[in-house]
Amino acid sequence: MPLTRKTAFIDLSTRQVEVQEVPSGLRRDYLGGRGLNMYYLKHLTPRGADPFDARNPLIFGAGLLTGVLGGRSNVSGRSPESGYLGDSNVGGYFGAELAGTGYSHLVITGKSDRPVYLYIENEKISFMDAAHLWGRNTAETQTMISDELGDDRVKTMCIGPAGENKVRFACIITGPKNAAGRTGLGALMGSKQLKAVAVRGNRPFSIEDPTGYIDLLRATSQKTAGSKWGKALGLYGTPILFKNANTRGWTSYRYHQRTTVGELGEPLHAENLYSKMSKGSVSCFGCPIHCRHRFEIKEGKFKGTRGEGPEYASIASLGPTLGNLNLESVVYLSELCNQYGIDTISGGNYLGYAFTLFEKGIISREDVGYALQWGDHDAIERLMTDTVYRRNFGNVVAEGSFAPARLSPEAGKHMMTIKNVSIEMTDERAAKAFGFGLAVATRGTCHMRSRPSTDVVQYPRELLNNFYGADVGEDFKDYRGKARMVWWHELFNAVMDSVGICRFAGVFSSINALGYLDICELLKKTVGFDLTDKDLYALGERIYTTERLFINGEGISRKDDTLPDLYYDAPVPDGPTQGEHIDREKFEEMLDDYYQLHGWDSNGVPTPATVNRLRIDESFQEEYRHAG
Amino acid sequence: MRVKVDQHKCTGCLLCEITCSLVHGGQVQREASAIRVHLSFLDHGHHRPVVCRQCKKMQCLKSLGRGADDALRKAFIWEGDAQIKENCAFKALFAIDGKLIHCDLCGGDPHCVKSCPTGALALSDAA
Repeated sequence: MPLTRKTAFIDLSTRQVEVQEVPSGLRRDYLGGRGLNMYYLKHLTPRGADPFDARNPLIFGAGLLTGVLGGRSNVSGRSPESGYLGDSNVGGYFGAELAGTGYSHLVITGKSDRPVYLYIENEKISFMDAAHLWGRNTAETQTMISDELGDDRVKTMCIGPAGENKVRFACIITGPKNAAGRTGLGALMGSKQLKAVAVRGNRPFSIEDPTGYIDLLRATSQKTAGSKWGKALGLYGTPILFKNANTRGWTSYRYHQRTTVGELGEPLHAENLYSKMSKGSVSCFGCPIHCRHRFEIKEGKFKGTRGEGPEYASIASLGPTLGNLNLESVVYLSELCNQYGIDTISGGNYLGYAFTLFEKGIISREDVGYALQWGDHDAIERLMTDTVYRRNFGNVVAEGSFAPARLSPEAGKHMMTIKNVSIEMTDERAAKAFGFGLAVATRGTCHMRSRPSTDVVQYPRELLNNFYGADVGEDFKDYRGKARMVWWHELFNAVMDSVGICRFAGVFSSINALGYLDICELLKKTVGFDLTDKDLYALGERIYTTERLFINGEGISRKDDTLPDLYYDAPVPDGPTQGEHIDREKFEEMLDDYYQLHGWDSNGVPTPATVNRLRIDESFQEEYRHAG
Repeated sequence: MRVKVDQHKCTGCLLCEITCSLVHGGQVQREASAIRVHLSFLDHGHHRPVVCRQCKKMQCLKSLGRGADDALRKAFIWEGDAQIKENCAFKALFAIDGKLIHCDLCGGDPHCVKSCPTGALALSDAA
């Protein structure tokens, strides 16, 4: 039964393991995945500690239905990139295999005195020597582990050289490219000298209504993969979004100098990627959509490079953000990032920051060792590699949002972050809901915490109003109801991440995709939960408010729910969104609406009434003893 | 009649494994499934679903003597005999808890075929 999966508390310093059942009340309140991760994170992370303090937990959590329905899991911890909330949702097969061991959650604390990896085979947890894996890239590491364990069904999450070298935006990889990408958790893993976690599990999961569940599973598959959006994802994957961003004026060219490159961006459109390099599409565990597109570079300098991706975010971050419109270069750089174990979004954007400093003459060839000219592939690859190995100026870039501390005061003015997390590859000055979502996301700059895109796909206003239960402007440039949109999607996504369902299967760009009522039905047929959509709403609130309490404890409040000055003060210079910017006064009104919807006070702190209503402290005191 | 595999269409979603274990065991346990997908990610190859080919002459059962075919062809669980598994040239018998799992075609209407979202699995009349 998915409900009986346990949590293993693993101390790398002492090599002690303590296994606990997850109390039924806690399961019901947080489900699993991101939900339980946030619960553990809030209660086990020492307040105000340095990100590399050994006491900080690194948490792996499979969704409640991961291994039964889908394959998603979350990795969480204190973010080395921001110092605040680190959390990233990842697909592939790792989560499903982890769930099969009988553990849904691993809470890893301490620091090993030598490189180590964990091997978890059903309930047995072993500490394995990783000296021979240290320095290896992510594909080599996974292959070597699988080979030495003599089992090709082992699934591994690992860091590459970037995580080992504590590059603050290092990620954790499973398979060719599935990444717990954002917020630098690879560096947290590296700081613990934990190279990898390998899992192999075949424990059975009893299902409340097996026949009913099979029927529901098929209907769910049809609903998600059969839609127009599902079919497009199955053919092209997320690169299909790039044309939209470029032609409608919300891509970032040269670190947000412009928001479109017009026809010059066509080489990066999905159709080109597909016709020149596609090697078909594959799935994650349990998913009928198969958006994982494989590539092979067939000609030119990078001929023979194979892999998966790049996703839209990687194309835009390693492409136009760096003034790079060469398809082969962008695809190659994405693969390089996957093998180094570096987040493509933050990676591309911190490099964009360095290229900006070079353009403005704030840093020079003497500082870097070579010129940083926009779009120069060799310079990009060289600086990326120097960053991963912390060589020369790369050692400054590797500090990410903390890099300005090592530079002149003038340099600091050009860094764009929210809550210490790099600004992203999409310019959201025009799309007000998206822009607002970046500002308030609990993990810092993030388009995926809410991903409010229903006004971008042009639904009629009446439909939006019915869906959100209040007036929402159908124009993405309109401010009306956009705080509500962000709030709605934040709650929904928190529930999805806790059940273990991919964003692409749920309400993402289509309001007709899986919603709350579908999730209620899935939970009923699998684990026998009789929950209503209102219950799930409250569950989303509980998770999101728990995250908020965590960052409040680290000093985050209203003052931090803001955007870089560029968003307010520099209207988009040209293109379809010319003149668009965020109005400060209207932004503050959105914040007021948003806090009210969440039940937080005007400073962005959850009120005691909200905390009590959501039973956030109660479940801690009554059901959880470990922290004591 | 057998489940025919087109590995070029297999995306590795494993809905077939999930379905098979649910139908026959009432629970999700992929290693108790009679179909098994060999995934190929890091070497960028094709995923490879493997399932009993329903051979007319069941070489796997040759050690059991005459008559065993008829009795076991329609059975999902076979009592263990390591030699039987080894005798299958397609490696399409799977061991779990001392027993062997064999595709019984769900009595003629295989559920894995109905769950496969891409048509990688199909019911074939040919042997």
